[in-house]
Amino acid sequence: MSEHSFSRIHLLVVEDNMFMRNLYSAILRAMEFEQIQMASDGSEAFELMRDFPPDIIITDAAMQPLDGFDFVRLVRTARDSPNPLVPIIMVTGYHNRASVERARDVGVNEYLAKPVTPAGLYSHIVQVITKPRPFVRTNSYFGPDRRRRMSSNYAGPYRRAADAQIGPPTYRQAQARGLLKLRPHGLFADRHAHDRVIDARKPRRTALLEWEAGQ
Amino acid sequence: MSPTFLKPDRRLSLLVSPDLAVTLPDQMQRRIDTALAALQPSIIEEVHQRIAEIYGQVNGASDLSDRDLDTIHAHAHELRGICGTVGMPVPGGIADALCAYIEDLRASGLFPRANIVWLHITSLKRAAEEDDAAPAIGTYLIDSLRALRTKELKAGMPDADPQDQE
Repeated sequence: MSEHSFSRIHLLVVEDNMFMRNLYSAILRAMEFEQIQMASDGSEAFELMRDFPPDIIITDAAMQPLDGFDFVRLVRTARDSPNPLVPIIMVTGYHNRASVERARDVGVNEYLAKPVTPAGLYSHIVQVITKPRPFVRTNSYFGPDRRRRMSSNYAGPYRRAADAQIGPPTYRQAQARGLLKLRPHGLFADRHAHDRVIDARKPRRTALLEWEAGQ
Repeated sequence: MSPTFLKPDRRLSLLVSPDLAVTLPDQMQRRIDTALAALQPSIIEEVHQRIAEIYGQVNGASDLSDRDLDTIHAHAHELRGICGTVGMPVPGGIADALCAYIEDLRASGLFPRANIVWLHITSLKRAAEEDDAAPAIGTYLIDSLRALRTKELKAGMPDADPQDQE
């Protein structure tokens, strides 16, 4: 491990509790972060972002007057947001599913439940640095892609018009790209994954039957 | 509107060492432990102060107003975050049970009862005072408080789905 590996990263911590701020400061400085700014609520943090452009934001959820969820929404969607693409890690005492989904839907990159452990915080920071997710803009959402996994076996429901393009290739696309070969028993297969490639826009069973019927 | 995708920004990975460890390195963990040990006494003192504050609010009170509950919830919410981080899992668990009690009853349209709030807070106070409290007893206490919350939700909303009350 090289010394000062995080020394060039600018970190903004948004937390209203003074003792938690001290705790973050102690943990993050021991991790060799040198550029750290603290804000006590979302509105102060939003203002601070103009003078101190952060590379990563760590925010609490429950704060007054502007809470963590509204702050993230502001960062992602406000016209005057200094950096809508900044990675945001939400650290919160709310453990319920509704809070996790709300955080995801306002555009949080990573969600970490309190109590904070140094190992947990480190791994989420490393995650946003080394495995950044693409951002998605739709009519109702702007933020990191909420789909973390791609499954070649996924058979819907498809929520995006372009899903067939985003997911595994359709049969025709796979054929055009030379990804298919004829197996002895007559089925085409993905040359690399050894998994059958079918039209992902149709229910899997229907597509497979049509495909087999066409061979 | 079809979604528009923006390629992930790789800038941050260029700002850190290429040999960045995936898990927290031991050397870093030791530095963190030292830093936290230095901070711990002041944080524990803060924990005791906050508990004393909310205990004073509920002890002897026959009724709690919405505003009292807001204050108690805010303190309990802070305590559940701080306690676990500074190695006080039992008080952290009780504070979490108290938050869940207030949140869930309010969400169900019921009003949290003063004596049950008091029971949580007096347990919290006692658990924070007892450094050597057995974790098994602490866990039992936390489970009992949660069971009390479920029982009250069931009594207040007998037709609700039991799974929603867990």
